[in-house]
Amino acid sequence: MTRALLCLMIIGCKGTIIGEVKPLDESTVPTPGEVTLPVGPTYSAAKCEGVAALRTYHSLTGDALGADRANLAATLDTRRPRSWETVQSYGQDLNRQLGYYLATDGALDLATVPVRPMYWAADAQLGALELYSHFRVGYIVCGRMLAEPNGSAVFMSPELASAPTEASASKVCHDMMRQFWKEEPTTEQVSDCAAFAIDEANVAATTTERWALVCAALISSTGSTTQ
Amino acid sequence: MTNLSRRMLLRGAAVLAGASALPARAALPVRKALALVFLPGGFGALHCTPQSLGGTFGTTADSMTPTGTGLFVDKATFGGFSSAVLRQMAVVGVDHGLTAHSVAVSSMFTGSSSYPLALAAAMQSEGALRCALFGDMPSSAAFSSVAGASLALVRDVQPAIDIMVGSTRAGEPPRGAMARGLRLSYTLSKSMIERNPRTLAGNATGYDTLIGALEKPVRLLDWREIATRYGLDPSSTVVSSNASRFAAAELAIRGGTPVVIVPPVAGISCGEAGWDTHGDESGACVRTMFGAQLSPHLGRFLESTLAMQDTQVTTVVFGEFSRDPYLSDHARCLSAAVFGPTVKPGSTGAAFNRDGKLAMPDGTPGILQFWALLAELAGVTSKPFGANPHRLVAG
Repeated sequence: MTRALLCLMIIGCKGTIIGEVKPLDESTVPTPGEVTLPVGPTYSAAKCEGVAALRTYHSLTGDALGADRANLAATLDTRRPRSWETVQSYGQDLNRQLGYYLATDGALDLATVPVRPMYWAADAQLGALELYSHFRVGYIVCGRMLAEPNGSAVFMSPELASAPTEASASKVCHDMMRQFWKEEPTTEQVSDCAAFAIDEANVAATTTERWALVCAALISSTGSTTQ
Repeated sequence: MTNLSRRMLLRGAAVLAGASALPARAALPVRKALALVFLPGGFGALHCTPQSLGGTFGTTADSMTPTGTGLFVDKATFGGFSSAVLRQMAVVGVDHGLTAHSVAVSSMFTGSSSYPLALAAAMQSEGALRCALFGDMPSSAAFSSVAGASLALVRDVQPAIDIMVGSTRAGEPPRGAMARGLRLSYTLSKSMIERNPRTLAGNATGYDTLIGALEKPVRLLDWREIATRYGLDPSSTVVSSNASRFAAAELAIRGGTPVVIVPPVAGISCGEAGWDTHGDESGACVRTMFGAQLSPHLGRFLESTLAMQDTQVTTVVFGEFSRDPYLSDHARCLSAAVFGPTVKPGSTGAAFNRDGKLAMPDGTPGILQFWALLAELAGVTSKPFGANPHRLVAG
């Protein structure tokens, strides 16, 4: 909130700042091209209502610079893909997320893909290649951890020793999401995850593999791959 | 991952052995693909339209060779390509009036959105990678994701092989289960993607294309064969040399990628760094550089892609501008070479010398029209760049 206030003060906005007081009123926000507005019930938005008072600048040819600038809500685009430097050092990264140090397993070569952006200012991508690798690394590493009887992973729990049931899947899903994402999942997210865990389509896999699939799905989700 | 496992090689061989059981190639639908071979710094007109340069850049009757379609190419660079390749070449002109690298690169690749990505999205491919880049592009070429296409920077083809061909290494996630797991991952990520429409713009496309690819049968691809053909160590999958860039681009096209971008490195320099060949008035230095660093690999790539039966591949070789006859400075226009099975041999870019400056015939179209031609060659009918004024499309 403080940061949002500071930003709006810097750009010279004279409007009223409204934050965490009322939910975003989409009808008052100019359509910002194809940008989708936020919808989560837990998000409110600080916004500037004094747009007309903003100072405008013109180019040498008289065009109003910033005329096409979208009045976006402050809650948009606050997450970015985890940086290459972070993901590249997978040992430390997974250590944070899983409580497991990949380097101790001699498995650092698994983390082959995190592709370094062309330029320092560019964000890492989360395209097909990266998603594939996140899932793959998550599956392999989680599988190894789950196969260890005395695994030290922070999400290890007695439920992981048996095939998932509706109850155990809900608990494990919640705990894993909370651990990986560092935020509380919604009831619906826990339910979706649990449904996947007990899905008959995965019944042929071993117990370890079934939990590893759940783990990998969560490791490759945006709650884990962005910051 | 730089080494292919023995098991994977055996699987690749088994897959190839099974190819004879497939329907005849003619029964397969013909896909379209576009290869952008971009030379950051500039691409001289001497390579593809030497006959109009009036003796500048060391062009003489002996320095050029006819294509058999009324065009001429530089003997030392394009002259090594087979007659089959040269017969499918045209020269396209772009008169953009820009001489600064960053502005010209930015304008050539980006308007209201990224031109290559917009084109890739319009091509509606089923490939896991919609637009793959094999090397570094100048930072002024922005590649912000668009709906349906994001840029995949490929430094190692192993993951792409895994996605397209399938991995059989021990301990890997099963393909079908991975697709289902990624569906869950996508479901859990959707609200965050919606709240971050710009910073996570490519994430939704990544999920869609990857899940789609994993749910389809594996493709018949043989990296060992491709790598060997380009003179590479087939056990290595790293993309670091010009040969590996072109080999990887061919692999991606065979795997269904509609747009590939190959920015070859120059290796040595003529004046400034890379393809920015200042002071090379005779063209001798760039001929040497192009011949050594690019011609062999580009030639193999063209030979192979033009011979594909199931994919019509158009390849365009260009820079942000060509070079001026005076001191080989930055020109205000460019001549690009276009190759493809649907290319109608001819030229709309016969550059000439006007008082030391490179010039185009009056009425030569600009950048959007260049992309309009490429869109038509790529089979896109929605005209995302407007009408194509270049009469260089066969049929």
